[in-house]
Amino acid sequence: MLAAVDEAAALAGLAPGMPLAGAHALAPDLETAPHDPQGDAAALARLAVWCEGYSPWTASDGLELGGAAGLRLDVTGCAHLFGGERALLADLEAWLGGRGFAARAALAETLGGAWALARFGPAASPGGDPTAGDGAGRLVPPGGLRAALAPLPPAALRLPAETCELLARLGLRRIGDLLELPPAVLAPRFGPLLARRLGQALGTEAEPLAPGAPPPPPEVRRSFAEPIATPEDLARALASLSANLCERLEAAGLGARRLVLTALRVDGGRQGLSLGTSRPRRDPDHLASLFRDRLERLDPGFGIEAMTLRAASVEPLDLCQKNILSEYVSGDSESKISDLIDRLTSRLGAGAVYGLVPCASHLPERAAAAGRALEALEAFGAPQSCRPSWRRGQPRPLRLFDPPQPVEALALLPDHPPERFRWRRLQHRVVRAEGPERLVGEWWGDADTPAKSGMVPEPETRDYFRVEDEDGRRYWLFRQVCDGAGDWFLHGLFA
Amino acid sequence: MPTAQSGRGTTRPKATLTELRARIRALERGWERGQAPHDPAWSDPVAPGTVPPGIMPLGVPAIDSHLPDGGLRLAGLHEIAGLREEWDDAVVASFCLALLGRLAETGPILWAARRPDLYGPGVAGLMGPDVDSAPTEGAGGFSPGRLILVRARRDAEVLWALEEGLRAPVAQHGGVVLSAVVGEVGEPGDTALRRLQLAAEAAGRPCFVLCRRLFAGGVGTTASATAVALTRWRVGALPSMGPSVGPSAETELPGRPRWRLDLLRCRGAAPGSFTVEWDDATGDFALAAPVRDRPVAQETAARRRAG
Repeated sequence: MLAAVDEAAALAGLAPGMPLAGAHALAPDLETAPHDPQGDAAALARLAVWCEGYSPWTASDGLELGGAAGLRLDVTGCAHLFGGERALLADLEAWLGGRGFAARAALAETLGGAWALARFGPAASPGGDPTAGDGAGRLVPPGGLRAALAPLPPAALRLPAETCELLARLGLRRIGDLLELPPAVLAPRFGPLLARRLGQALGTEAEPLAPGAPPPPPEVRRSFAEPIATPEDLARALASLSANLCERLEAAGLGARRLVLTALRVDGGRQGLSLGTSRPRRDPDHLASLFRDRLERLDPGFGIEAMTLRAASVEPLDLCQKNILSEYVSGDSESKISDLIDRLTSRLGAGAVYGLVPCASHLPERAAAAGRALEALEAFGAPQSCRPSWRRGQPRPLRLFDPPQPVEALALLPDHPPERFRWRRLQHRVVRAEGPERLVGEWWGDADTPAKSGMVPEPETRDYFRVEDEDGRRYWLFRQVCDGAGDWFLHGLFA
Repeated sequence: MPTAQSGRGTTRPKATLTELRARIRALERGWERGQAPHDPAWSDPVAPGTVPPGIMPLGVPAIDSHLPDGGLRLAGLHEIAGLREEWDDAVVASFCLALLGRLAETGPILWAARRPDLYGPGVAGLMGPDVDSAPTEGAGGFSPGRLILVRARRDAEVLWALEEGLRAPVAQHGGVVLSAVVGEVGEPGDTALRRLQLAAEAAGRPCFVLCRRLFAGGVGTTASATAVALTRWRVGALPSMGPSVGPSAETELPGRPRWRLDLLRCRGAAPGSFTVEWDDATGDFALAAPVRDRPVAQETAARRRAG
């Protein structure tokens, strides 16, 4: 039996529900594939997630509702981002079409109305302009829902097949016929479902859209028979929690990147500790040891009655065979380093441990970025062809002031190095100098560069000088290049 | 790092033998835990030309011969301070980087500081034109990628991070975790320094403490603060002797950096003072000629200006 047909098959006279033999008789070269409802549902759910580019509130329709499978998007407040509702529909159809899905989109005030129009609505806009695309005809202006639904068959109301047959036998072939009848007549004859669907389509009855929820983060909880307060008890509870959490993570093939420990006190208080790890981990001892130093920050008060440990952020971590000989055989230095980084981070705070990563920028303060320490190390250990390289050539200072420190300097000519400058209330006489080296910021520029009136903001331009004073101290000075003479700044110290 | 391991194992069989001999002797004499295994008292008299294990020569014969072991003893604490407040911060860091660059091990280095102003391109440029393309085995190789930087708020946190780094478990079978730890602090206390010295000795790895805010008049620092570290250095910049072609007639180009290195304290050696010149191209220093000094340079400059 056929479960679904595509457009060409429908033109050949095939329809869902037709026996396969009959279908082959009608179209001998018919290509068929086995029906896979679960696969379809999963693909539809994935599509619903993809559609989050159009609206944050998306869900997939069930397949059992009769008509073709569908997606529901609540685009309230989203349409203007795509240039209006009409453009949004056209864009959505084109986007789905580009991915090989034959799709019809409709937009109405209610979920039921849009459902009906998408499946039973006009194929093209009757009076609209032909360039607007198919979606235009299924766009219902506010207040026009009743008129738009009236010519559609009752099946558009998401009714079971029996009800539709009964309505057809009674001569009620359009929704308009139903709307003319008083609602009190419908319910006793056709059951409560018809009245509800009608109400949902017209918006007199609420129908919420339930989006597919993301899977919750792994969490374990432990309640204590007696409230606990001593540090030893807390440490024991922590050890058992982290062991349980790691089992959960191992089953899911995940490793924790961020952990939140929550303690619930008997007096209703609630305290949390959170920390991050430098790479996905699921080693109970390590996770427990990261929290151990910070357990003292928990104030147990009259006692803690429950603790939860949640892996707030997880990353895939492949299963790996634990090597019982690893202590003796391999120098597992990378994991030791990441243990150390975790310990430092958990005490000094997130972002306190970092590595230097080169960046392609001419502005000196942007040429080095703070990257994750472990990544910087990995990049260093990588083969040299794919290792990030530092820009060389011109000498660069060893210490960089951020932000550059303003100095009072005196230069004889605009592009000459300064004769003397004053920094921290001390006068320095320049004996040797090199420069200028002109460095220009990126043309795509800063948002914070003050824009001159009516002009595109210029990228920052600086003339750098390497100077040495009488005592041999070497400085990196620059002068901002703007109209005339700019201000002088001290940006770094050389070795 | 496995590369460091293999290089160490194959190129220095003699060193390993010496070390083993020293350990056996130490065991025979009742060597206890906590005492440095490389104590020169336990080992064989050093043959001229060879470097005992755990000792890193600086590559400048005048300094190496001045130091008791023919170089810096690695397992321990070394203090480096600036000659003048603030202005010599860069020299302090570069002298430390120069020492780190001579380390045989190429593992990562922990660098804890209170102010994150170490500049990556500067570090890369200091150590020769292209250390990234050259193999990083052995002395002279240094890339900013080796640094694990730690930003701390207080001196105590810097010192804690250093100790944590020194006490990090060493992977078995010789895998080196950290080659060295470096901390920039204001004024470390004696107790903290002693703890670090013990931890560094136990770990067999060097620990460099950079004192960044010396008193303005603290040229001769108090003796009590110096009793702990293996060596205590005071470094400062000196006027360079550059090529005499400048952009204008009045100014000359800055030359190679020249540093004054004062060895204030060293176990088993007298204090000393050295003048070295740093070469960016090779990433190494050499003893500068002591006769050329400021007045001469000024004189030549003046003569050139006149002529």
